Amino acid sequence: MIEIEKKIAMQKKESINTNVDEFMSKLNDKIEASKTNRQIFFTSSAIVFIMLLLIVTQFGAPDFELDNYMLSRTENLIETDFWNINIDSLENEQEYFNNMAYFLMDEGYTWEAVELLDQFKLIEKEQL
Amino acid sequence: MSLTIKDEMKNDHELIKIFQKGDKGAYDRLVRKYLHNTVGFFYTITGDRMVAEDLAQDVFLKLFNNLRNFKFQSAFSTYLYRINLNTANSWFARNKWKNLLHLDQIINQQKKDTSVAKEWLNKELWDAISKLPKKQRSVVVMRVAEELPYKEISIITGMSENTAKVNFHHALQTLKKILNND
Repeated sequence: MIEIEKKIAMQKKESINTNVDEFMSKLNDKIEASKTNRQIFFTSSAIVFIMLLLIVTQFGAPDFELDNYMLSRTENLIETDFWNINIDSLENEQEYFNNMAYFLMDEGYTWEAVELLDQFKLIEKEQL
Repeated sequence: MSLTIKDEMKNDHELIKIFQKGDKGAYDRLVRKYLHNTVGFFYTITGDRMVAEDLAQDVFLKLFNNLRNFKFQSAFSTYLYRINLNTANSWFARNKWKNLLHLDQIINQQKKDTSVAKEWLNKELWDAISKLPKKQRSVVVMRVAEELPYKEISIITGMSENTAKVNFHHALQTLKKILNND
């Protein structure tokens, strides 16, 4: 018999006296802790999943906010050559003057509104 | 009157069925039945009573979480041995660095002749066993700590009986080399 086999043969299973009740009590505590940890894990996972789902689908986000970021006339963004730039700027100016005129009328500045419209007509004539 | 292995197996399976129906008392009875054997198994490997009890608690916790899925295809003792073996392998893996650095081997050589000799011998042997490849280590652990026959080891580890024998033989050779080098 080689030495290592002798060493292994010398290994006898040790018998130790374990306090069974104490062991069971500790084990039950661990089981309870494990159950609680599982519940916490599943609840947290569910919350994270729901949050991600809400973020991805943008549930409850108002649609009108999207409209603010999207121009109704997309050609302004796409067509950027020189021929279109002039037309676009004219349209934008017209819109600006119109809005400003409405604003002035609402606020009660009637003559200022008339002056503004005259100015716009002048600019239009100059450009033509 | 002593119970036969078949009777034991039947009893265990009945307890598991009761547990699967929701009675935790059946689980407690199973734990009490196999407690000393499991703690003894880990005490043989670790040589530390506290560690052995902690590892046994891990085993029974795993058992509690998985016993509902027990398929009744094998004896409960085989199932428990498998959990013991996996837990022991995990423990060996965790202690790999500690063993590599020899952090807990600062025992003076002179003490070898005193009463610590047996403890030293055990420690030296288990440190060497922990360095074996997983398959060889599994066979050696079951052979040495549980004194199981090759047939049962083959069922637990999922290898053939001959492969288990060959692995044990190779393990002995490797252990011899490791211990001689040390």
